[in-house]
Amino acid sequence: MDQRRHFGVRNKVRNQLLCGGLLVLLSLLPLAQISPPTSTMSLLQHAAQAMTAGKYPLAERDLQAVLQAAPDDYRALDLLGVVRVLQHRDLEAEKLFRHAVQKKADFAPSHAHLGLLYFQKGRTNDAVPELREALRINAARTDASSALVQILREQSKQASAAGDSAGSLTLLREARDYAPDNPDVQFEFGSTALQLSLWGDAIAAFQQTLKLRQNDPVALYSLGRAFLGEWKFEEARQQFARYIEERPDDASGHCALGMTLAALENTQEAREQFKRSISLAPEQVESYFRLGLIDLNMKDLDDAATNFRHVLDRDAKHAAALSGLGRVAFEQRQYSDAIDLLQRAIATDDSLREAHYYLGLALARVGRREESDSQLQISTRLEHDEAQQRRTVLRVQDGRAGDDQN
Amino acid sequence: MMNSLFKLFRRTILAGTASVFWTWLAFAAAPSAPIPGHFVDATEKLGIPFRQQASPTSKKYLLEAMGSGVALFDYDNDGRLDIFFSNGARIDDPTPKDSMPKKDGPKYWNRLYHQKSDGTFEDVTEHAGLVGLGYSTGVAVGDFDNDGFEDLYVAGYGRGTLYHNNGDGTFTDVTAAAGVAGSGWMTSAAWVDYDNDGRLDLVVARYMKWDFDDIFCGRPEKGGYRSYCHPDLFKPESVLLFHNDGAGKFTEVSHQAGIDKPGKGLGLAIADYDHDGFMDILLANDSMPEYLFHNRGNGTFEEVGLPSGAGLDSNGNTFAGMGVDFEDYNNDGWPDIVITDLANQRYALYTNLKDGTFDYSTTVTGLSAISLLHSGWGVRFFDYDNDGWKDLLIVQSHVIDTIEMYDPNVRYREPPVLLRNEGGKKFADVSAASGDVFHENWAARGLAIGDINNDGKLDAVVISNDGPAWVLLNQTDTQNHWITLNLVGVKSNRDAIGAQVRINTAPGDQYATVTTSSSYQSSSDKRLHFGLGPADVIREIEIRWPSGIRQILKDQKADRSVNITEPLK
Repeated sequence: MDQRRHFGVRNKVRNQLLCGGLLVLLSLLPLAQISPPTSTMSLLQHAAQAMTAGKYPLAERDLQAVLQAAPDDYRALDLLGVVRVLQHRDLEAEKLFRHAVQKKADFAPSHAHLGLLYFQKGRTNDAVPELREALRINAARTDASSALVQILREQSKQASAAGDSAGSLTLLREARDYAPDNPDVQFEFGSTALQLSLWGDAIAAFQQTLKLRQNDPVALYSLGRAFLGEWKFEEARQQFARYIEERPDDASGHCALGMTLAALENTQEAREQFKRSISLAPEQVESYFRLGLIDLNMKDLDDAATNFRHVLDRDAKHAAALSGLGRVAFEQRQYSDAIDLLQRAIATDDSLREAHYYLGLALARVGRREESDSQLQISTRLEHDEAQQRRTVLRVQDGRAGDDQN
Repeated sequence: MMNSLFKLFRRTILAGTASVFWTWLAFAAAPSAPIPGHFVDATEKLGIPFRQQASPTSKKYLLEAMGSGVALFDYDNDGRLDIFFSNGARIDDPTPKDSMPKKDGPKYWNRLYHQKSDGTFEDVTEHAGLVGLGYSTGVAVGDFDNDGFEDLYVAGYGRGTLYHNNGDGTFTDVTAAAGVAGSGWMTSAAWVDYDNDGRLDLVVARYMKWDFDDIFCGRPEKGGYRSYCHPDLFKPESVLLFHNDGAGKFTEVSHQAGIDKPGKGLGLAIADYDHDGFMDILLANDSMPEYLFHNRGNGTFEEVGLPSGAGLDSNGNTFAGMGVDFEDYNNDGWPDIVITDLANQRYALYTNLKDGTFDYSTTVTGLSAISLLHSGWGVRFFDYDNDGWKDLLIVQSHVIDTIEMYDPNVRYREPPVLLRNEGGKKFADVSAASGDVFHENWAARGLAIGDINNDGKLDAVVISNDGPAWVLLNQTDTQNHWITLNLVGVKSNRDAIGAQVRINTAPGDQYATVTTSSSYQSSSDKRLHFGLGPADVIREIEIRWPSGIRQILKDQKADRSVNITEPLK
């Protein structure tokens, strides 16, 4: 944590502690109203009022008076702890909070204050259990939830940076439980779920983000991607269409919309979106590639070749475009060219199943049966692996072995 | 000798194609206006109260999702098509792992409906002796003993049954004597004379190694529902090939014939895709590459699905192959393939490239856009409007009855779809204007095609899973001409299954193969039906019989059914 952020946290925590003090006061007031005033209660009320007014010595005097009469009064201990924090006497504050929770383990304010103090000191590992305990006792404590969510988000980022996406997601899942109405948390959860191909979770999170922050373009785009992952093309199309309403000059939005339209077999509109995307970002490769695929499937082989070549002019090692051009050659029965192009595609990316498949077919056409069988087997194995991977992901998503349907 | 004849046939096809080139051009330049179909649900009127019993359970045993089949055939040779439905059986909830479901009540019986002279049907099941055993699945019609009466093979879970047609309206279970009981989960079956010895052999597809083990599949946390398990969870099983030895005896030769490659077979169809004179076999596999068994002509097969290009889709993906047909949709003389599958997979159409390979033509023919969100089972090329181009009828439904909870864009029950063949280039969905039946949501499975009322227009029968059947009469408004050919083999098998026919009319050539087996677990009328468009005369009919004998008939009048007997040489 850099120093500016650290000071930011300190000030924020101190403010939260003050608010927490008021919360304690407010929690006491109803009690004061229904019970006959006692000297302890009056003193606590006075102390709380003094704290709110910034008159810490006055507050301390009242609290010490309570503690003299009842040294284990957890309310006084807690409020005095708050005063100590506001006086920057953190060690004493920690002792007072600890004393308070020792005396009354289910007193949420002291757990919260202790957690906030630890958070302020950068002791997040100590802060988390205290904040969790505070929220377990009283889920409505926004000071504790706010701090805990901040810590969990920070830890999630660190986990993600370390490559532990699953760990990151677990932390965000907890953060989301504490702050379901925080659009940033929802979005971060959705993004991490997207990275893990947990489409259903990502979709729910982005939808929640958009409920909380309507027409957020990034959330719309991400939601579209998540729907694509789940093969819900019509839903994806709707999101990308909304996205380009928000950002009409974004080439990636038009490309994504084109992809969903192509998946929905609306090839004419898909072509238009890809062309619009190219006009906005002429140096890109993706839209040319997608146009090539449409042409290929429609057997417009010359156009397909032109589009794949556009891609290769910009990125000579674009494996999928090499494969596409190989498929064109295959369709034209130029098997030697096809074999060469498909082998180049595989040399660039040997996980390209389609390239193995067409290489297998092309080799079969020229009578190289053993090599053909080998390529076709690789293609089949890659597809099987992909299916297994999808199924594993869905099992993780469901939390148990499931979703083994067609 | 035989091979040279086939070469001659191939040359004839090529020459024929060239000679009619100009007339084709004229035909193509002035296509007839699109005619929607008009199919009417006549089930009730004709007296078919059948209901398939799937016996759904809370355990979601996969068997209960896969349905049964239907056969259209003339069992008593009265010139009118009769209907046979296979049916399920009682499945307990739960069922012990190694149980065999039983037909322990009339509602589970298979049913034979005899067509009376007034066109209505009567249930003759009991009299015919076709009540059945166990959980029946597919049905295949073929005259295995060449006695002139169509016999039945009824596939099932655990065992199949061969019924010999006694010729007096009754059938006898000859399974044990014939040795064709099979084993495992049998689905579709096909009669084919694979070695051209004049006797029909039997191919039986098997789905996979499956039993009533209680395997949970589904999403318990989302409302607590369970679903049918994906076939990937089960091991594949090979097809069974029974060689007809004559005298009512068969020998299982799957291994010797090299056809025992394990698959997950649901649909079967036959055709001679490479014109070598021997029938090849297409097996539609669920979620693994489709199998094309090339008949080497020496009693053995080679599986060439993948290298031929008919094993996967254009992206190299497997799909859930279910129903299949193997006919020439573009009138070039070479059998093409259509395979139905599940939503988001697109029905696969493979065009025969005439060199032993196929091109995935789903997108370019428009089938991709049409089928994207649909799931198909029974499928058949047939010319509903008699315009000379084979159209497609596909009956639909997803396999998972809870699919809408997973994917709101996909439906479990779906209407059938009628696709008009536009000059062998494109298919157009004409369902919406083709009758109310195309707006009804069915959990359809099997489909058989035939001219039930002999009016020159092909009708259809559909069977659903755990529901009714439908008889769809074709009342399409067209003046197009037609001809129906009933081939009778002498040296060849009597059904002439495997005979290949070319007809030439003014608009051009058409081709078809005699078969009863295709679609899904179903058996269609063996008679060949050709729509002739405006032509009222067939200039030439060329028949290549399985025996190798070539027969030519000239100047045949249209709009009639013609019996053609195989010449002696």
